[in-house]
Amino acid sequence: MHHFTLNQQVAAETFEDECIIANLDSGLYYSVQGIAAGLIQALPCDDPDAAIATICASLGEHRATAMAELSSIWQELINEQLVVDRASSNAALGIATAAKEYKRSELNRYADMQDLLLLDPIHDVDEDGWELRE
Amino acid sequence: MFNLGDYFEETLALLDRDSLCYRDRLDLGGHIVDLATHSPILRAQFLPALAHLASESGSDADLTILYADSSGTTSPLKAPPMDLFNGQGYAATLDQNDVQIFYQPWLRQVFLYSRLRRIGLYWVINPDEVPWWEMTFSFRIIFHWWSRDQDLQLMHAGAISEDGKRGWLIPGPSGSGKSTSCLQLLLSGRYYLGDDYVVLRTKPPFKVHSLYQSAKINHDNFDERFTDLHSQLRNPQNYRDQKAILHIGEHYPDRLLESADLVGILVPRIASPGVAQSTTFAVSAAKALMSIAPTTLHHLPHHRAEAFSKISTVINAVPCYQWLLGSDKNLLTESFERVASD
Repeated sequence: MHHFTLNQQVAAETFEDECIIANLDSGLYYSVQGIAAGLIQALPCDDPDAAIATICASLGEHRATAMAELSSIWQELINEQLVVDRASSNAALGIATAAKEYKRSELNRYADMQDLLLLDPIHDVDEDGWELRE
Repeated sequence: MFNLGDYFEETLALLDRDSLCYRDRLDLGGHIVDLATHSPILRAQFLPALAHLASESGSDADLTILYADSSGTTSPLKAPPMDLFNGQGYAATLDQNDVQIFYQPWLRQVFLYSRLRRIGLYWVINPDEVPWWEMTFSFRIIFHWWSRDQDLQLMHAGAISEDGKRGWLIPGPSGSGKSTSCLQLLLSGRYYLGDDYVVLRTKPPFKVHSLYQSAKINHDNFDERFTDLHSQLRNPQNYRDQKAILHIGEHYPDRLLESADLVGILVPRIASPGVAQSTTFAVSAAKALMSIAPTTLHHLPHHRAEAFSKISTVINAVPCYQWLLGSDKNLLTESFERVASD
């Protein structure tokens, strides 16, 4: 039994047809555009294929294209660990909603403000642990 | 095992409280902030950027900041374990729910804050080692920590008002043009609240509060656009190695505003070379959030979830515009006037 939900280290804010996701650990940001923003609103979710089918149900000639885009973006959300599977969770499920019109979906990743995780090594410290100066 | 709560208490205990005789009181949007130090040198370094907020209020303090160097402690302060900290001074493995810490191991200074006590501590090994930038946004990280439990958010942004009442937030990373546009608008007669960090009230009525009166301009930009202001520089000898720093309240006291109602957000971006005209156009809240949140949360890595949520709330409540900044300063002023009068 799957139970997909937003990673706890992630904050998401949805606006009309775009969702901004911030990875609070790494400083990476993501923008989910188009009808794929509905994927975030459908979380938590135990059946992503069903959620994708629901979102795309009313898109007529665009349905197949939209489903392919959403499936691809769903996989990216998993790969980037923005969405994680917490199979043991009992949290209430989200609701997938049929998109009214087709809007091309994209997941963009912004790393320009990514945290600087590495330090230049500091070799010498004084007796109190502060960096030693000449 | 390093215990942050213990480290805060040990640091507080090391301060010779009786010697903290230089005391100042600030009013930040109706919140009283007390500052105390033993050192006239540190006071002269940290207070000027905040001096326009001086208050004689008799209310209890909402925040107390104690700051000292090693001559003001009863015994030497031990450094935190440096291997816990990343390049932003953040230690992700420490429980920082109550006490928070900011420590960049290549600088011999440390910031601490206790949410329970609402006391911020700053210690530097000696005043000569206070980085120049810390003096332009005094105790920035402590104000950020404290704002967590208030309806406030420290923002990496400037703010300007057309009429002294209605304020526009001008956010953006270094190099986006926010300082240049804020200074230019001040010089054209608008009201200035800040050009680097300001404080937002994040619940209705939304407001923007001035925090620092220190304007900072990249030296090449200063030499190109603002040479007339050379006599106003705080650091005329060093500005080419640092940034050009001016204290607005010292030269334009009538144009330095403490608070304004937040009416909109202008996200600046330098236009392509050769473009003289400045233009504004409406952007979605999502685009505005992507322009605003990363730069603030990058520099202020603690309690990002709460800060992200607060920033989102404000962005959803006010109109947001992209502001493409052309090279002509008069046209820049006109473009602000157009959007502010709409």
